[in-house]
Amino acid sequence: MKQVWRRRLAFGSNATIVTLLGVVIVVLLYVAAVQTRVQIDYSAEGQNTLSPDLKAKLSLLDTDDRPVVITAFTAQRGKVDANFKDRVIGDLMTAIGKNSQVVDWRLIDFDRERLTAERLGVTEYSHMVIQRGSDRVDVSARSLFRSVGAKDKRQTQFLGEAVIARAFSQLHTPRRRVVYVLGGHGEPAVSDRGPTGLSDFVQALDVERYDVEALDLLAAPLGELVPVVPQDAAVVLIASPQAVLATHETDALVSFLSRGGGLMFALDPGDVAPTMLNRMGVGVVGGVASDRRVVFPFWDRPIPVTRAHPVTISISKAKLVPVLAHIAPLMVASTLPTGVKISTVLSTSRDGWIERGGQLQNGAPVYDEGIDGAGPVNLALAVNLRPGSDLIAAGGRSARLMVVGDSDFLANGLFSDGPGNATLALEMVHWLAGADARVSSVGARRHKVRRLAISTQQLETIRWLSLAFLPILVGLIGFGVRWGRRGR
Amino acid sequence: MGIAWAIFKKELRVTFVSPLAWVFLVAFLFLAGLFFYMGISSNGEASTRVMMANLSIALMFLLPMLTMRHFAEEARSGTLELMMTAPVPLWSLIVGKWASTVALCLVLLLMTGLFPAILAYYGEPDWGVVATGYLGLVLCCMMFVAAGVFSSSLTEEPVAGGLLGVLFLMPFWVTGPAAEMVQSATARTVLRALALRTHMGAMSKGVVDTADVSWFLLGTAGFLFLTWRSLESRRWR
Repeated sequence: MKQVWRRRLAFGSNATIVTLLGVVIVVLLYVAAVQTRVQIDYSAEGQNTLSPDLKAKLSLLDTDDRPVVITAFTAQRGKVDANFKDRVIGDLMTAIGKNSQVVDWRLIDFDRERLTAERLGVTEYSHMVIQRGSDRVDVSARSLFRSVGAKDKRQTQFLGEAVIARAFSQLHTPRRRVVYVLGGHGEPAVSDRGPTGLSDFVQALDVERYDVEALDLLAAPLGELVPVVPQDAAVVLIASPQAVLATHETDALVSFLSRGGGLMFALDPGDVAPTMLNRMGVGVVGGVASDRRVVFPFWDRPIPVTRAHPVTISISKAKLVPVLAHIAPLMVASTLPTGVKISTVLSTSRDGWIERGGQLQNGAPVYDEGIDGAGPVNLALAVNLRPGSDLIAAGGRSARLMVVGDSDFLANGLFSDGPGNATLALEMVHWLAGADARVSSVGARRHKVRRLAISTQQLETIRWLSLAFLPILVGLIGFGVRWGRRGR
Repeated sequence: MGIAWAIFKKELRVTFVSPLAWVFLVAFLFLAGLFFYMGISSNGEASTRVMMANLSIALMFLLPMLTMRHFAEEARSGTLELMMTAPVPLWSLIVGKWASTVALCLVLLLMTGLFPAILAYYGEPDWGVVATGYLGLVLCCMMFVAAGVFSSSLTEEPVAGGLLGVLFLMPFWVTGPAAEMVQSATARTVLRALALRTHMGAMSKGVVDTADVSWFLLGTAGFLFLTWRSLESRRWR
């Protein structure tokens, strides 16, 4: 009976049906394998495994069930790192695609598909556009990659995973907020691309869905009797003012605080500290914060100790060190005004001190009792103001302030180079804007590149070894085998 | 199983005395060396990834040339009919021939072990990535050889068999770039699932995905199944 069936199935149209059935079974088995896939990452340090933070954000997108499209553009062909850039972006996109049900991605050749670039308004290589319905987040090449090292040892680092995780979180908060930067007192310019400018900070804020506008409180805007902070302001940044704030400026800022706004002061030694800080129990002390542990070779860059606060969770978790330079020591009044709560965000270690002159040891200052101030020194303070305090009348809203004894950590010269600066600065802005849900996102995980340490001469040796040695050896063996058989 | 083993040994012996196999070996090793050198000279990384990715494409063209004679030559010389009528299970014939070529590929891949050794001498390669890359190449070879064996079973002309093999494997190559050109998300998903780049790409960077391994294994099984159907159809065609 079995034999009869076997014969029947092996002939004519039955054979065709059996063949098609076999193919269908293979396809179905593959579909089942995709549904139940398991991935094991054997690379060192699990470089291909997505971080738990990014996975969590992807699962959030999945629960929303709205399609997300990532359009990534290739790097400029012919450039040294073009292959590396395209490869790491492709790898990350593939991993994201495999870990999400709703994310679809495309890697577009920027040179060949200019129409797509024009349609999306993209004008640079290695740019990325993430879209969900009408929401859109742009990730610039500058935030995805950065160059580190000196000229001959320059390497490109990929920061994509952290940046994309942030971009996904932005899709959950579609409304853009505005950060105003006070001007008119010699503050650094937001558009300045030089080392003292704030353009990198502004760009990072843009990725976080914050618009940055300049704020002039010296003159009253049209239709207003006195200068006011605009209604759409989430945070006002006052960075390194070189002149005293006028009374009406301070009044406008206090009024902004009463509305529940967030104020950020970034002050350097010698800056004119706004008087309103004293009313909150915060003072700026003369001198420069110093410590035994410093960022080599700068004596005025103590390695800060991060204190428990929502804004330091990310940098602590990712073990990122913020780098602040030439820091003004901050002091907290022994008796705080009513309704004011101050927490230390950054400080020096117990060995830190306030440097005011005195002896030098190997070119670096040391603690001189009687001249210098004893530590630990506060480097950054977070202030919570409750209604009913001196600054906010009863019936107003709670407000937040951040006072940092340094403005350089926001400036281009340090913003990208200080490992934890970007994360810390953005977390401060999120906290001030009341966007606590966005605080504590992932720190930057870097893509490690294993380089070969070879000279030109060694490369030449490798060329001959790889191109000629094996083929010639095998060719000779083959020739020997043929020759041997001919001899038989 | 004993018959399949006997066929395997005989095919391997025949392969190594044929000049074609040696030409193939030399060509393969030259290409492997070229891709390896290109990889390290272009980016200076202690990685075999460029070599693995390019070799998998090269194998698409090279392996059908190696397998083209398996059944086509037998059919042309008339020995296939003899084998079909002999009390030899068809599957042992197919598996024996397929395994002999896969064994040759393993020998080849073993020889390319020189390249990771060079990397280890001058740098610190990621051995996990190297190992999964080789696993990917072995799976590639298994599937491509199966496709070549199938194409060889369709014709009596070895050259036509080789070209057919390349033709069967080409879609797995072109679907990779094509996936990035289509606008439809569904079409893109289907094309990516078909593309060799998707499955080999993960392994060449150190990730073993059961779906990718299944793709290669099911592809191999699928082509061997089609070979069996193709040879069986000779009984009644």
